[in-house]
Amino acid sequence: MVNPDDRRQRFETVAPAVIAAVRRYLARRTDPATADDVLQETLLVCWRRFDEAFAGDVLPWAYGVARLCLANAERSHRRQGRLLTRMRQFGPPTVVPAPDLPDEDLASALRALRPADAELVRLWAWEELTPSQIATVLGISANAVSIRLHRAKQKLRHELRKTAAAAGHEESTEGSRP
Amino acid sequence: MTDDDLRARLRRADPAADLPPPAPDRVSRLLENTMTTPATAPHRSAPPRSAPGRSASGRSASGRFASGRFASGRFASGRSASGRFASGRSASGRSASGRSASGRFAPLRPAPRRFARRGPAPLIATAAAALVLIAALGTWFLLRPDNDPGAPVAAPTVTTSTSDASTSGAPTSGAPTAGGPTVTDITASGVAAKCVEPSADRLREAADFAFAGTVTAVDGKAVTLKVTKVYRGTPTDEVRVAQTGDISETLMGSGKFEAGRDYLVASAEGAMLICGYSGEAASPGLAELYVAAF
Repeated sequence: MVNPDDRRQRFETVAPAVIAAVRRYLARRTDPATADDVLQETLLVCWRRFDEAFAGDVLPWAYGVARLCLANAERSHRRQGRLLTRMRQFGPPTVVPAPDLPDEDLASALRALRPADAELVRLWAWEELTPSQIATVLGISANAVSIRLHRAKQKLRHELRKTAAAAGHEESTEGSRP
Repeated sequence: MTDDDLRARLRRADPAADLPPPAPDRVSRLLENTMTTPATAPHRSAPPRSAPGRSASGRSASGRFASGRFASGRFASGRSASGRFASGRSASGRSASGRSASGRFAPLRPAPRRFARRGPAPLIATAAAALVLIAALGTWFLLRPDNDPGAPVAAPTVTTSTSDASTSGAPTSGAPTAGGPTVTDITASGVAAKCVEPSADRLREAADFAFAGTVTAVDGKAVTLKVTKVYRGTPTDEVRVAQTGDISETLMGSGKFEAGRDYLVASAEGAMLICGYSGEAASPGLAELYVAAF
């Protein structure tokens, strides 16, 4: 059994970094109100399950917790949305809105990917995680991450090229195109 | 487009790029909210409903977290705690449904294994929870009524619980020993989590004994205070309190009793109330709290 004071202290040491990172993680994926709720929820789960984090890197583990907490929040949002719809016959169920990206082409290219692939790309580019860290977040093997990430990047490039071509841009049709 | 270009383009579009850093007070509030939840819990924890019992036993195992503080603490912060447990439940509930969740919504592979609850646990967990509950109740019954049952409820009882600090006390509460001055014993618990902000209402609700006193002697783990004023409970001349650690969350001010200083101390069922309910009389806000509560 870990000494509670010791545990507290360790948690307090890593918590600021975890808060900052998870806050950014959530800001990239949901609206501010939901982000606030999920941040608190994530911290609670991290605090309760802190002993598990010690095997390895805390941040990817915390991202993993945040991911599940966010999925939970989104699920209940959807449930509420459906209920509202049923009650008022009012529009389609709302989904938690993801924040708008300044780069519209990129945003639509990301939307064109399968959600799992888009998430891989986000974890790679925004959270700046290595494949093995991404594997911790998602609970899959590092090998699988490498392969999927590689494909996801290719797909994203492909989508970007498509939109660029449609808009008559020239720049991104360089050599690699078949 | 190379990987680097792609990454650079993605980073330029990062919605969190201009996110201001969190305000320090917000961070500390988050931490406070989080860490007031009793630290648990071996992994694959028992169902949340057993949490109070489990943490109670964990506490006595990890030192002396006498029943009193958390008995009252439990009532005091019970509501918020249960709220938190509720959310905790959804958290662990999520882990149970993690796989289906990730299958359906966040279509990302199975939940990390550490979240997955393994097979036949529920029955064992329920049995364990029952055991813990019985043990906790048993301990409570053993520890609690071992004093003169005729003593008024409001009198702080001499807790002869596992303490090594308050061994000496006369076994009757509040009764003068052989004509000497009345002595009351109080134990002090440790802190397992952060504290919620104290409130007069809660103090009024929880405390069955509260007094102002000056420390006359510190003898290892026992502190003797000369009582100057009793706010609540049976009047007494002298109180012996178990010396606390160094944490200001246990005892406001320096965190432990020091000879010659004035203190305000409240207790419930013989255990000192911590988390801002007891401390140096000069601590900011404490005297006001006592005035408001009693």
